[in-house]
Amino acid sequence: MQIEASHVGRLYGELWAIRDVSLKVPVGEPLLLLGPSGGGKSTLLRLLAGLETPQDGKITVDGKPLSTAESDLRTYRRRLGFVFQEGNLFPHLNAEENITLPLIRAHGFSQKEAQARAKELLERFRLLNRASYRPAELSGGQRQRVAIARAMGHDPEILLLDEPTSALDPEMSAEVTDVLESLSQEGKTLVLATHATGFARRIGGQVAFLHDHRLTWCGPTKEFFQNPPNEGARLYLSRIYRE
Amino acid sequence: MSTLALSIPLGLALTAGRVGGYLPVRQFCTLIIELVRGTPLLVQILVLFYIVGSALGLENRFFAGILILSLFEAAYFSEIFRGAWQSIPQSTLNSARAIGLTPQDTFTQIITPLALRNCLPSLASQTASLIKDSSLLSIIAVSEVTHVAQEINAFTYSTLESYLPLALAYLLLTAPLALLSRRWERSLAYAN
Repeated sequence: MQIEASHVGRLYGELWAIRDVSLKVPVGEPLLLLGPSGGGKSTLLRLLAGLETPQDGKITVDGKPLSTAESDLRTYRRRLGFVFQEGNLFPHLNAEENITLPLIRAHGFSQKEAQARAKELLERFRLLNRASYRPAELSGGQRQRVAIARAMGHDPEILLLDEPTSALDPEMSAEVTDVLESLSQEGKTLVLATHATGFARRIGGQVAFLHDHRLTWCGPTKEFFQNPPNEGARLYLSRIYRE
Repeated sequence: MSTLALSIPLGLALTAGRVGGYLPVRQFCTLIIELVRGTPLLVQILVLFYIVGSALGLENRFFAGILILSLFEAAYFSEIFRGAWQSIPQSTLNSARAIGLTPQDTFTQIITPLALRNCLPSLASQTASLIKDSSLLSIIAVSEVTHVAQEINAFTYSTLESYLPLALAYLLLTAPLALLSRRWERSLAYAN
């Protein structure tokens, strides 16, 4: 699956959240959206995920422009997995039901197949003993891992994650980044908005640096950290390292 | 019971009209809701029965009573439903979109169970009000318990002896409701 944004812009009220952004989502390696808060990372991620539509430019999937009709966008979203900053699990469903619901309702699994798949994922993420717990009974790290399991249920071609560790303490963050690293090593394409630079360096892939609502640099992660490409990136990294 | 069976669907229809309908439908539903909530039930019963009811040739007092009370309660139910619906966080709805649920599935699998949990206490209390509001139907001589108590009082001049059992009768109807709703609420609890 080849996703490409060309000259994409998204306006909120009178403010451009992002402007004139063009990039290709690499296949088989992670794409890290880095940059200061409010720079447009989440907006770009939501546009790539088909959760919002651009006012300017276009997004193409396998060479065809992405339709803006909600039913087409829904079909597109079903090919992807999306994880929100806070996980956004459904509070009235337990961990297993959170994973089985989309499988049954959006991907045509039978109840039995969905349960078997949910068990497999929960086991993989070391959460099998939490299958019957509701989100309020889980820790932040566990909730986020269930959210990743939910997004992985149908084995999506691309997994998009919006700052999946920023609401977690370091220990819980590590639980989540371990899972993401192993997914990436298996060749799953991850698109990730993050501030976790340590994790970003480990996971490698490509960096898209967004600053002041524009994409100012795109290239290999190693290069970004070894030799920050522009003043914005240098300032961003110096602030992050100071913390 | 018939009023409850009528007013809940009517309340849901008013909510749907007010939240999602086209502008004229939305305005019409809002007008009905505000008109009903802004005027005393007693006046509504008199106006709807003696003016609207007679114009339409509706003479069955019991049936008319049920209709009038249903409309009154529906307006309150619809506001309870609207509040419960709107209290569902946008993040939850975004999540439903992200996993590719259709609007119908989002409504049945996500919105309804969450909204039900949110509105249960107010729903139970409004149902108790409905039971007590039915006493006002005595004004158009519907033969319900308050009307019977009034008649006993008129014949025997024993006010307390007529009305205290009446209060007890209402309590017997409303108390199980409170218990039932609390039990139901517990079974639906998901937070904390």
